[in-house]
Amino acid sequence: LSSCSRPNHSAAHTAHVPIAMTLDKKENTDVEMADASALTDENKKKDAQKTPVKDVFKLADLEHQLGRIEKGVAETDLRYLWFVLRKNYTIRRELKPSLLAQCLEKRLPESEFRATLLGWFSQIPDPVDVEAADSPDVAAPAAADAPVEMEQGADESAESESVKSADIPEVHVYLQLLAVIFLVDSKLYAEACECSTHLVKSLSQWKRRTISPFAARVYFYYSRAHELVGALESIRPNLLAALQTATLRCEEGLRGTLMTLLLRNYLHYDLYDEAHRFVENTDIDHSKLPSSQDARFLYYTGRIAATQLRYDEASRNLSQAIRKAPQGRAHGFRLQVIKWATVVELLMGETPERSTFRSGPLEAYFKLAKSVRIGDVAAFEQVKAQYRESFRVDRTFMLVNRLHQTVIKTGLRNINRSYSRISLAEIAQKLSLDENAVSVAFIVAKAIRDGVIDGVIDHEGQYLQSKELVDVYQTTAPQKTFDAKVRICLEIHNDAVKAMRFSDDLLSQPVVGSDSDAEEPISILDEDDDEDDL
Amino acid sequence: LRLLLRLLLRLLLRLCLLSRIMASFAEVKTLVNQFEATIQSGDCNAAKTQLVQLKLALIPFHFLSPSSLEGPDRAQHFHAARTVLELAALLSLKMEDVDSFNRHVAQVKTYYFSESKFKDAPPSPRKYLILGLNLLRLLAHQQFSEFHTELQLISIENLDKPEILHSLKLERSMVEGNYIQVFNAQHQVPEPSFTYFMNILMDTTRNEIASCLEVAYKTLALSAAQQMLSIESTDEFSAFVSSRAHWKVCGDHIEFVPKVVKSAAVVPSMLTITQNLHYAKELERIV
Repeated sequence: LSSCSRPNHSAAHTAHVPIAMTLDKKENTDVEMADASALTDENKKKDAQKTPVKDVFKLADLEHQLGRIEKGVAETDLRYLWFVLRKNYTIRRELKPSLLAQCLEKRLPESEFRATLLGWFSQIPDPVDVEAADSPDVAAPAAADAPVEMEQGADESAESESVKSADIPEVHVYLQLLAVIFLVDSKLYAEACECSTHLVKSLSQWKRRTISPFAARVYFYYSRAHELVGALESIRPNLLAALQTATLRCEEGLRGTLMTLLLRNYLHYDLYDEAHRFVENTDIDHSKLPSSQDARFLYYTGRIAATQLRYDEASRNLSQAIRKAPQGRAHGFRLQVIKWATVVELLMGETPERSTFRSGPLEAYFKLAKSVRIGDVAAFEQVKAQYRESFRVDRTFMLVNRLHQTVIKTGLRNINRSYSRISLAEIAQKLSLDENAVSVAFIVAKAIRDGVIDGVIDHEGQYLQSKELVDVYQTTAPQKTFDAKVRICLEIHNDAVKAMRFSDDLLSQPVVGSDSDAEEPISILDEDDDEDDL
Repeated sequence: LRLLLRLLLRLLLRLCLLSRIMASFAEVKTLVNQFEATIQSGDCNAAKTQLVQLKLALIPFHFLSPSSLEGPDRAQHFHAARTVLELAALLSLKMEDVDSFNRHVAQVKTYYFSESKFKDAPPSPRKYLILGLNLLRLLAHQQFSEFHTELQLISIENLDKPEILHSLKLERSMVEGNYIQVFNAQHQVPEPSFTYFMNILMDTTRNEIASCLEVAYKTLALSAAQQMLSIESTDEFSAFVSSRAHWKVCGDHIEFVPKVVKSAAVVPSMLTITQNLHYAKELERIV
């Protein structure tokens, strides 16, 4: 499927460090997750024969995450919460639904909704066939083996305080968020919709700052679940209201996510006009967004600009989106953006580089580019008819239709360059146009007026005479191209410096307390910093 | 006592209004049928007054906000309101009032967007006519970006409908420069209501052709020019020629005075200054 993939993004520990965007069902050698897999690997080595222990360890690990959340809330330190969110990637892959159900049962307050939720979870089959889960007291020795030894104290105290700490809404929100993710993964879309709607309603009650890292994720999955069910339109007023509240409370992260979700909502229904007005009327500084949201935002604005014939802006936005998309992950998203970017480039009259067409799914676009480059109308029509379905799925069909004009333009340009004088009838024949002399004359005249070709038509002789080629260095064209490139370089330089400036702040901050506990998140964050900078 | 009297008065007024507004839906239906009949008979002024009445009558049925329509009869209400707006758009076109046409089309479009919720309402026979007319209006006013935005809203399967196809083909011919097709299309309109915009389009096209001719030709015989511009009467033609700024008539052909071309030796000082200032600012900037 070439449609936009659903990335599971882990949050940035601050707004400036690039976020990792991950794609499900693709096992990648994530350097970032090395720390998490290192923990499980070590554990596996220690208890190689007992696979169930790993799962139980995960339950303890989940408890450990909740402990972190509580600590973060207690100290009002958002970094713990961001760190917890980053673990989502592993948890999604390795945690068994039954274990999550256990945890939900233990932690969530008794309510009708909890019962329904647990009912849904019983429907989800466990991925690995395992004998009855061992009792939680096996968690203690297993946990002792793991390097999280120092956290054991926190674990036990967390468990003993479970009754007290169950009141923290962040824990509820986090667990319910995991529940929604699992429901979506198991394709129980209608249930996921209900669960996420319930979660969004409960979110609106809480006015705490510490909820905000989770809030963005909650809205993302809320929108995604509804999209999978096909009910996106119904949630639009809710998203707009949430955006309003987020703006009032100056929650930039949430605002960014909501804006991209709303844009996706509008573009899903092809409401380009409304999307354009939305972008114009909301002031969002997209350079301050985390780069995964920024990539999405640029892609959507690029699409809007392309539909409204503003090709320069479109190609700028789309190429920036490609740059900001994470390397090595989120392939679906990149493919989609590349498709749009190539069509826009073709519409502007430039040929995209061959290297962009390495992969199979872009074959249709490769053939399209070939036919446009040559200026062969017949081949173009054939390609269009052949790949009509795939263009429709990619939503680029309308743009491809517009390419007809570009093919003729390119054809005319090639003819003009190769012939100093050519009769109009021959032009018509080469471009397979209507043979009527007047219509060919019109087409050529319009091309001359638009600056595509340079020449003069002689009416009596019915021929096109090209003017002599002007040395391009005598015009201002090189200066303009040079200026454009310099501006791009300066922009990249500024962005890079801004991104770098952030880590200096982080390193110079005093270490919070002297516990090894507190040190651990910071040191892990630093490690990841280095790996990201690679 | 006075307060009581006032309250009573208010209640009475409210009851009166309600009884007036609470015209049953059957009355609305008869009004709609009357309206259709008047339009068909061609009496525009009468139709206009009837339209105003109809709009007032439709207010209790959530006029202009189809998403809030509820109740068992909502499909009928939806259908009635939609028909009224479509007919109103066609009426305003007949009366050559482009502003009210725009307004009515925008209002009808909200109904078209909500169509997925009202599947039991019969599909409108005039939907693609209205959409096609709207597209043609955008073309006639040379608003290509809005044209394409509107086009996106029509799903691909429906692009083959004759009204839409007509506008699509016109757009393609205009962009390519195939103006002969544009002229021919004038005689091939799918519906007589298209003629108003087609006339505007013809004028626009003529201006386009004239500007193309200026650049592409050095001289052009008068007869050929007349043929290309597709103006039949010679008076119109001479009026047109004299209205164009750079055309000089010499005997039996027109000479196109070329526009002054800036010599390449002139340095574009403003451009260079702006660019260099920008570079200097960026280089010195402490980010």
